[in-house]
Amino acid sequence: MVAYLLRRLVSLLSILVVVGLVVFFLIRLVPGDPTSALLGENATTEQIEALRTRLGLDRTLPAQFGAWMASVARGDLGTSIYMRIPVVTAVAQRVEPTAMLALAATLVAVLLGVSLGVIAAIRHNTAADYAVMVIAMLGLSLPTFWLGLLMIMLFAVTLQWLPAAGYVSILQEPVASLRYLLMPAVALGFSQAAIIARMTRASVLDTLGEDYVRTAHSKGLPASRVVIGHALRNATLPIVTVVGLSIATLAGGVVVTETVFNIPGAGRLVIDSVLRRDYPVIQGSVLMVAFIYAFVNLLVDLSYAFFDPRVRYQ
Amino acid sequence: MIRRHTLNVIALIMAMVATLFSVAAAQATPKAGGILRVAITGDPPGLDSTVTTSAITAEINNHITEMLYAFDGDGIVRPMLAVALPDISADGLTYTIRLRAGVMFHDGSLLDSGDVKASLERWHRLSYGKTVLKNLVAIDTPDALTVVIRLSEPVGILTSALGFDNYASGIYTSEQLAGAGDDPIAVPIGTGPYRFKEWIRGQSVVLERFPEYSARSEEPSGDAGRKNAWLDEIHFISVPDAATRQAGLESGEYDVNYRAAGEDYELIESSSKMWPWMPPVGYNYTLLLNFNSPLIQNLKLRQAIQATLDMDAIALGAFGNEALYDLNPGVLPPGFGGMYTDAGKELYDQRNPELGKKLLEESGYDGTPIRWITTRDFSYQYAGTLIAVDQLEAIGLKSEVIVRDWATTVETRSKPDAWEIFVGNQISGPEPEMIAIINPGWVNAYDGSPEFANLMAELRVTADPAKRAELWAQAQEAYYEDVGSVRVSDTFLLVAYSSRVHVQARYIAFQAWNTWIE
Repeated sequence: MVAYLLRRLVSLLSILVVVGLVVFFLIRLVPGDPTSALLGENATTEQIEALRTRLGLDRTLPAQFGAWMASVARGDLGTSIYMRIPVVTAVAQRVEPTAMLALAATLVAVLLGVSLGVIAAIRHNTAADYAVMVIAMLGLSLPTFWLGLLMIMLFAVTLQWLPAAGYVSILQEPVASLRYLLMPAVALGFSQAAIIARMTRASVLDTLGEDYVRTAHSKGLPASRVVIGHALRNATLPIVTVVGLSIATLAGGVVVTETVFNIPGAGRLVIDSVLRRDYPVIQGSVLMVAFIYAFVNLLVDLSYAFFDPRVRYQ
Repeated sequence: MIRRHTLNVIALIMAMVATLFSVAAAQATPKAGGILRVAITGDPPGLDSTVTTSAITAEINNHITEMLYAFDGDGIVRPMLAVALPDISADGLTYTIRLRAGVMFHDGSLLDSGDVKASLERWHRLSYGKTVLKNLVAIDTPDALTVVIRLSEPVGILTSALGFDNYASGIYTSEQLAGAGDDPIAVPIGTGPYRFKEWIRGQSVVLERFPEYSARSEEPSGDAGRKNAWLDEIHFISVPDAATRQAGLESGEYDVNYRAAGEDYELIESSSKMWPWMPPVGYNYTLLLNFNSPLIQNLKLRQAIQATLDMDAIALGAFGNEALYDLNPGVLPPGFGGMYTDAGKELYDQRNPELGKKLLEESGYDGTPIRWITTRDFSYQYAGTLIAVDQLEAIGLKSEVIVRDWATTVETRSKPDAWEIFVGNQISGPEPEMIAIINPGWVNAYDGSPEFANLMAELRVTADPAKRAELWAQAQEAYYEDVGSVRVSDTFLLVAYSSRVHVQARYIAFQAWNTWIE
């Protein structure tokens, strides 16, 4: 187990190095640089050149890369060109909204997806099953931003039940924070709920046909206990895999949701930074997202042993 | 019974009239207090408008700092931190400026000539002052409230430039300027009606009322005159998505949508919950021509483009509503300053494809595609480009449309050999010397015909308003004859206000002074 863990950690580190290399050169292949965002549209060529020199953007790419790698090795991800604050600070300021949104969306996705999937499985080939599958297809088909805008129009503009956009920290105002999170969490979680529902349905259907389920029924156990305690428990592994992948997908999906609901999260930071060509922030953020992605996958792999004691790590 | 009924009706009418009057009075009477939540398009690049041409930086900074002069609602220069317009020597080489006494900065210090000298020297070193004060000899401070600017050659627009908010000559304390050096000032300390309170990067900039603000006594107009700071705070909230800004205004989340989408104009205008406002000085929506390109250097080809295009079709397609643009031939906006002219109008908006075709044949055009650079990030640029391309294809002009994101388009535009035409909004202003596209040194590399260049050279050293207007009329005519660019229209930014918000005076750029909220 320990050897497996160490191996995975080393591989995680090498993934980060490769990601760092790729993102550094990839973003510089894209034309444009931060000076247009800093100086505005009407700056003269002379002023743009002077700023490029001040920012060190006139140096060769290997020289810039060397300087960045040296500072990353010292634990310094650099300073944002646009915001003039350390990248770590910039990202740290944005982690809470993104984490809260991803967590809330995951909750929505799991609660909705597993419930609907189980209902569809135990009501196999009935109207309830078909209804759940239609909802799942809708969830997969509706773009998150469109669903978000529809929700804003209905719940914020027309009914005025919820705020249209923005974010309040859960540490400052917990109730207000939940009001702000509700719509984006549902908009973001809905598509993942659809995936989880389909996987839960298929997985539970498989286990419902197993001998031990028939035995549990014949022993006279209540149907709910058979489904939850036996069928669902044994159907969990593929569901957990899908949930793990969903979290990773949500990390990507938050970018759009944060923009639509104006949540100042890490996703929007990355998008804004790409548009402004704020290289240090793009590089630092992508490194951190890569780390989260790889780390969550590691956690998911480790959790298999918890759900299925037969699993051994080598 | 009838009498009693009549009395009841009269009482009811009187009550209604009284209510109407009280509502009107409530709307007309400014109310102090409250927070104005302004949804802006994104996080500003900084708060120091001396070192950037970013409009959002200028519009936030205008609340914090002030300049020696300011433009009123009609585009006339008025004094702001100066007591009056400058005393200009007969040879035009010496400007003597008296400063108002007792004007306090946000740190409690009082404005003096040392602050003005340090601010103008930095503006000269880093900003638009480099162009305007090209012939600067020295800035002297004979006493604490007098500044003297000495020049080796006259400058036509020095007073106007000292009140222009693009690459602005804002006045800061000499202490903070010494600390900042050539770097942008992170937390500006000015003399304006609002002072900096907080900036959460990527989220909001918060300004609060400056209780010791030294207001002028003249009636408010544009950026000039008395500035009443009725609001407790102004929150500039970064909301990049246009639909979210508008939805937030409609739901009451924000009080102002600082850049509403043109397609929402009718909705905003017809709603009782909102009202639209378009500042009188918009942008110059133009086909920018790259004079580095041999194709564009061909005068007949430029004339063919100018003769063919239907400007109304392009502007309507780009902005979606006639209220958002104005078809007129003036390179400078009408009704703002004294420089507007329609000289050259016969060459504007000709809509004559037959003539265009003939001119194209005379140009010797060999079928090489014209490269148009554009972006979908701004729909008006993309739509205008496609419509113009379509109209010009009808006369046989071939085109290649290069679509990239905005940052890439800006970089491409800075490469001399990478493009021929860019359709977009260019900054408009009260003086010709402030319009980048008609002055040398900008990306379009337009030096002008000899006639135009001579007239502009004379204009740059002429300060007399009447003489300047005369010169500019001749220059604009020469500009049209030379097809320096192909002007489409003036376009206006759309600001949407909640009906709870009241603005006392006509303004030029967004402002929250002389503004109150119910």
